[in-house]
Amino acid sequence: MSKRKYDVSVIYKKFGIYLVLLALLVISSIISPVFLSKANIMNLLTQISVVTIISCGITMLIIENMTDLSGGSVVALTGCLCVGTYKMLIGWGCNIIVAGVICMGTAMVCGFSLNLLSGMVITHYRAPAFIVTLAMSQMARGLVYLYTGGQPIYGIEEIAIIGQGKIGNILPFSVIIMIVIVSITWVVLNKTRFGRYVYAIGGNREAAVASGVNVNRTVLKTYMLHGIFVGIAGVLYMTRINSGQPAEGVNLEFDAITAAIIGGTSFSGGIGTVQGTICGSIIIGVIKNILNLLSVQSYYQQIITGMIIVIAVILDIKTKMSGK
Amino acid sequence: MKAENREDIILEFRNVTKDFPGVRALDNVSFSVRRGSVHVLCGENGAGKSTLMKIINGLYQATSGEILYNGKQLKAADPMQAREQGISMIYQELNIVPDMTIADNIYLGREIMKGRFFVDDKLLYQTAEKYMKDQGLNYNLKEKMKTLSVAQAQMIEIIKAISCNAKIILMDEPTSAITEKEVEYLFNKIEELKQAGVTIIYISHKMNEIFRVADYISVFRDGKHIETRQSDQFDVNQIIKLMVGREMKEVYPPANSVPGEEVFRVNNLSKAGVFENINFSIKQGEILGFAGLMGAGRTEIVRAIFGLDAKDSGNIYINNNEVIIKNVEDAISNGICMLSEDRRRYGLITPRNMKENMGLVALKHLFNKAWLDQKREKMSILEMMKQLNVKPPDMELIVENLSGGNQQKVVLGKWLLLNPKVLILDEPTRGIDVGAKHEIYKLMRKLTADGVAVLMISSELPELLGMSDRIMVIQNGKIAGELTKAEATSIKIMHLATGGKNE
Repeated sequence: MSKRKYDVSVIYKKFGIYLVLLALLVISSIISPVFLSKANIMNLLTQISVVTIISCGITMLIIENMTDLSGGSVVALTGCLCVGTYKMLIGWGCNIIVAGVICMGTAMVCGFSLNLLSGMVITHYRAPAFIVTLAMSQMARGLVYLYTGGQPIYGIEEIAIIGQGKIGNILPFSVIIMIVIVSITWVVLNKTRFGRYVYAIGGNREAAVASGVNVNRTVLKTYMLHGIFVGIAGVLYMTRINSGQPAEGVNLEFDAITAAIIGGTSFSGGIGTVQGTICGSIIIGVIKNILNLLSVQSYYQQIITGMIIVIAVILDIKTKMSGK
Repeated sequence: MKAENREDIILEFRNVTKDFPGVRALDNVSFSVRRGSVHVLCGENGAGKSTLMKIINGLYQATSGEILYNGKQLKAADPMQAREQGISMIYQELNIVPDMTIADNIYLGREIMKGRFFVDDKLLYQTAEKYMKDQGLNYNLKEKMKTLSVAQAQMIEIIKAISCNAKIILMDEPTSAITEKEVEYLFNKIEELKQAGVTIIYISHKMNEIFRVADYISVFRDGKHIETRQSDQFDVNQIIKLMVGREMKEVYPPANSVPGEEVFRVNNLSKAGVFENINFSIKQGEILGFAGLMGAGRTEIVRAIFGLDAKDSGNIYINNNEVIIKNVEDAISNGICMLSEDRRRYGLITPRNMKENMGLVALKHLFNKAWLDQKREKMSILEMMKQLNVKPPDMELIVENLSGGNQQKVVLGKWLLLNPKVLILDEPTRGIDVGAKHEIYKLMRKLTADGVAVLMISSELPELLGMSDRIMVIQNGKIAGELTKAEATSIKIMHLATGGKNE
């Protein structure tokens, strides 16, 4: 009896999240015939792209024992800034390409700067990341309302192509960008010294300090990288919905944190992979997608997502305790 | 066990086995513990002693077999239930809440209540006071727990156990963090408890201690119970032989190098209220021992040298050139490495594997590339693991699950990869088994033969005497004296360390 239980937990530990995803895909394709259609899959991937991009940085931050609660607000700010800047530049008679590059750059610089600011307060004052980024969330939301005057920005013209365009009429740009950012994160975590430091800091900060790891610099770099990702996420978000909506992007950071946790990133730090996170993100996406296809009210989706988080955490704890 | 002795047996193990994934921690263990005795469990790290204690304590559940407590099957699903049945454990790392008062700590989790919702503070303090008096202690119960020393906190743990009406008290290396004087006090307390009919089960690595307190000794090896005897029917060599399964010829390998030129010098190192005017130097291939009582400031001195803590003044020289050390990175780039006294806190990234742990410092200071050179990294680490005799030599293993000896080797390996000029070892053999200790001693000899200057802090006098070329005694943040290998004796060191007059 106990022998069997232990086997299951070992298998889960190794492949758990992938098996869950596989099972979910099989079930979904049985329930709904359109699920596996090319259009639906691309639609699904487009829908999860923004959250997945944010969750890449958040995965690194959680591994480091940090977090970011400002993702959603900063997405709103960087997105609106992007489309607003574009509109303004075009109004001045600027070239489309130049305007596009400048407005995207503006968004990235904005995401970078705000997260750098959070990171500086967190590292310099040893303030809790939870509180500092919560404060940043408020400020960013205030800034975006101030910038837009509380009104949506419409008529964003050609820049919408970033969020809506597709290669060969099939592969959306947003999915490509998502894949690129996931890949960058994977390389950073697995192939660089910086990535090792990220794991070391989350695994045991004091030991990292005693090993000569510059903890503050590493944490700051993580926030900076995450900030750039959030800037890009903002561009994708607002160009997809074809307008700058200052009230949008609420709770995006929680979806991103959810994806990381379902994907096996440990809140106690030092453990987590971006592969896991993208699985977590797809799992949430698939559940939402299949419930949509079955025309289930969206309220149920939230209830189900909440339940999945709890199950993921229980499984995480159970597998960790399997030895005891 | 003869029938007429049944009453005397408080705890009996019958074929107890405990499996962890991939490891059998306890293998078919059977033996008995007599009521009112001090029963010492001996064995190398990973021999299964701690696992056994945790099973008695309800922290772990045995995979198979049974434990009889007073002739009945012991059922404790967690430490709380064990405590209710009269089994208390005093952990190696004390479980205290530093910011709560002493009395609140004693009654944590079983507060004396007034009605259903309110704590009866008055009665709680009165009762706690009574226990304190009974034990001859006079701490102010309203003080915060953090004001107590480790030894004092340990006494509080014992009072906690007594106030729970404990019949069995489990002690896991209770003397690992207290001074010799405090050890005396603890042993007197153990004697008193024994007189009162309490059974003590005690884990220790220190042989002299074992023979002082034990009535019975059980030796464990590789999860198996090897032998239990009355302590007067054992001698040290027999125990060590049973523990390691072989005879230990020389505990301390002899020095094989003559100290050369001076490599490392510290001038007038001071930090207000912690240490002052510390001057010393170490030669190439020399082992300088730092002796002193717990809290004498030895660890603080080396932490300041290593750049972990700030210092007020003082200069550090390597090969006669002054080096400025503001942080750990500076120390490492100048060839100074330090093995910290608390490997779990300052040494290991516990949730990560051996490769990542051992490579952590080398990433910057040896390979020095932003991109990992995994091939080179793996090769150097594999080489180091071979040199240190890490078993099993699988660098993907998570360090959390390794034995104490292997963990220490991982931390050592992390520093040795850099070929340090000066190696500071703060309690290098704390909490590790005899076999691994011996290996670390051999390694130290090898390092000095290669010309490394070693500074060793140790609280074990035999180790200091056996390994050091010179011994400096630190007392109350000051250097109390320096002894050459020839003149050093335990008595002289203790005189200096306690501030007593020498000769």
